[in-house]
Amino acid sequence: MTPVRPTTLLLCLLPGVGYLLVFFGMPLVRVLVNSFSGRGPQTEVFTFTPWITLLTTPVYLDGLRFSVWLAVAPTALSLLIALPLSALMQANETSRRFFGSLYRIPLVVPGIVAAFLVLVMLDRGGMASRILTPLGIALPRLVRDEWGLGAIIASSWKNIPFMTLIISGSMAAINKDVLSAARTLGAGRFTILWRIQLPLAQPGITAAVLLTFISSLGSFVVPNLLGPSYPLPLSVHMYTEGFTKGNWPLVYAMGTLLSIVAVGVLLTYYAIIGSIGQSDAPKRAGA
Amino acid sequence: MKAFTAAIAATLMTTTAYAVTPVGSEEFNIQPDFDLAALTSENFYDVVVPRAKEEGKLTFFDFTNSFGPLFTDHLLPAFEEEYGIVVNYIRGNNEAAVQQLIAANNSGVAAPADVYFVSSSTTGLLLRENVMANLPLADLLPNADNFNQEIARVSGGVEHGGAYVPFHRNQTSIVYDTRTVSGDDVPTTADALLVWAEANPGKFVVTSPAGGGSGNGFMQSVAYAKVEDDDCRAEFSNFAITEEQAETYVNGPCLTPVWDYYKKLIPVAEVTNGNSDTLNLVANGAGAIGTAWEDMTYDFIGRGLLPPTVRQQIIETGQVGGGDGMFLPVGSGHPAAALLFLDFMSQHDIQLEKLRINGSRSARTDIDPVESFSEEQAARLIPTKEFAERALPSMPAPLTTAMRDYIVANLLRATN
Repeated sequence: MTPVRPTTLLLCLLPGVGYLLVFFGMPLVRVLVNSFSGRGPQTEVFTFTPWITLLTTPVYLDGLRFSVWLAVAPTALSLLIALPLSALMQANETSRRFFGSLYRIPLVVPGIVAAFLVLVMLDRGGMASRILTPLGIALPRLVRDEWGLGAIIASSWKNIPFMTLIISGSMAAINKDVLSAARTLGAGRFTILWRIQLPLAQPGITAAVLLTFISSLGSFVVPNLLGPSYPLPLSVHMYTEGFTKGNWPLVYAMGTLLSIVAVGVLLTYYAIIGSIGQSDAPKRAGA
Repeated sequence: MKAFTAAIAATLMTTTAYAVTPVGSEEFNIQPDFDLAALTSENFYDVVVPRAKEEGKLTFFDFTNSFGPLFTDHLLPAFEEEYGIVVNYIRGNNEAAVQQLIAANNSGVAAPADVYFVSSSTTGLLLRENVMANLPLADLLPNADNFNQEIARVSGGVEHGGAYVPFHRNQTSIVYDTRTVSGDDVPTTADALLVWAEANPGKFVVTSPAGGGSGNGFMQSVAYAKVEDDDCRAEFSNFAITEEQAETYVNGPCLTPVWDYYKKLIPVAEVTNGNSDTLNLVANGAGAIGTAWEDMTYDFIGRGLLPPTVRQQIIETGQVGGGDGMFLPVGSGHPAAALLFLDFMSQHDIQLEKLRINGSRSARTDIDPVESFSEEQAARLIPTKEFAERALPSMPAPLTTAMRDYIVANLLRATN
């Protein structure tokens, strides 16, 4: 077999790797480099000022924590609903049709519309409170509340169909013979879900969780409409700092930090999943 | 001989009195194909109109949500009919358009539009980035002669020397719904508002100073009401104040009464993230009194987004006003047409039309809303006497930014 010349190899890789470098790598590098630049032409070319400002200002640190919260909470809530929904859709053709048509509705509604729906329904004096107040039922504060509950509800409402689509696809790909074999051996519905469907659908679940987490981490419209006046997520700070103050180095630093958090979560998630797999391995081997 | 010398001097003075000089610089930052140094308000039409007609078109950017029909149905057709110059009208996001203009300027390409109508909150950024033509339009445009001269030179707390034409004026106010609180019971001072808010938790809706202009305006109005020391108050009109000085000032003793006021107010008020958010809470009855912009409230009532029972007032110690304007960008491809457009938009009849349709006040001193409004329209506005006696100018931008940041970092943060 003739060995492939390095230049040929590079040329073959160029369309894929080159595309990634130009449209993904270069912008990221530029964001990182500019996060160490001064503000305006009269300042230093290289400075740690944006990072020092970001990491020592309590308002921004609270913003980072709130961003992570607004990413973790909707992801967890969406997963909690999407998992059983996906499993139910595998039960039989009727449930697949019923839940299949039901969960797709929010899929076609843009995020900002979801935010307005929550605002109109759940704000003080909104439709829900107008219906419930005459019955003597008072809704808790759901919009502009300190936990960002309205934002979490809107994000989850939007993300559940998306997650269900991916997870149910993964579950549908599981060989039906495996499930039948489990049933034959006496496994109940919950055991099948817990011991067979979830582990085998794990790649899909992982993808759904990460995509939801990362999109929620940078969410701007939903927390801006439904979140509290304090804290504000970093995405909102980025908009204000960039567009009203022109402090782009700080914006780049915030963007880099959010990306680092996303990568950190990704690595942690893989580490946890990996350790679960390893801890299961000896048991299986022993069995 | 004396008479001859006096005549020469008078001629020279007449000429130099109207010749414009660059704002904040030795040189003009635009180079049209006519001599800007020789352009005066007297020869403006002789010089500009022929060139504008030669250019034949211009692109106009509008950042507002509510002025679209005013421009497309009234003002732009009127301009096109009068001068035969075609206007390409673009509406969009204020901040995105400003960033696009800055990027175009940094890249050395033509400005995307020839005239920009943008928020006054971006005036400082436009000046810092040197993308606003440094022409003193307040002195140059013939139709600018009736502008309030202070308003024509300071916008959004930034001194721009007349380069930013004040097209639209607005005023912060206190709105209340007479269904839930009668006009006689509405507090008319900052202290009375606080007492009312404490007695009615959650019913006073305050826009966050970081979330919308009405909240920032209310913050300034509280400062005007609570700060009494003359030296402290002097900073309210110190337009030379730097960011560092403003930060020192807000951390000093002068604004302590303001911070004390907000410490008591935040726990009992509903703090929203935007002007519309505040008005929506008043509209659905969740709030009874709120901070607002006069023109926005006027527009919301007119469109049925607020009930007709909503009224506006200015507290006794006054509330600040503001406004948005137009400018000629550096890199305009049609500078003569743009200058003519800016002059056209400043004229009496156009400003009056804007007032009638959008409830937008004018920087012109020769327009009285009372004479131009129906009784129903007038009821949607702040009473004329209150407006005349209680409207206050905005404070310098570095100061309001520092005040806003202080409230967010020290007061809103402490209560959440």
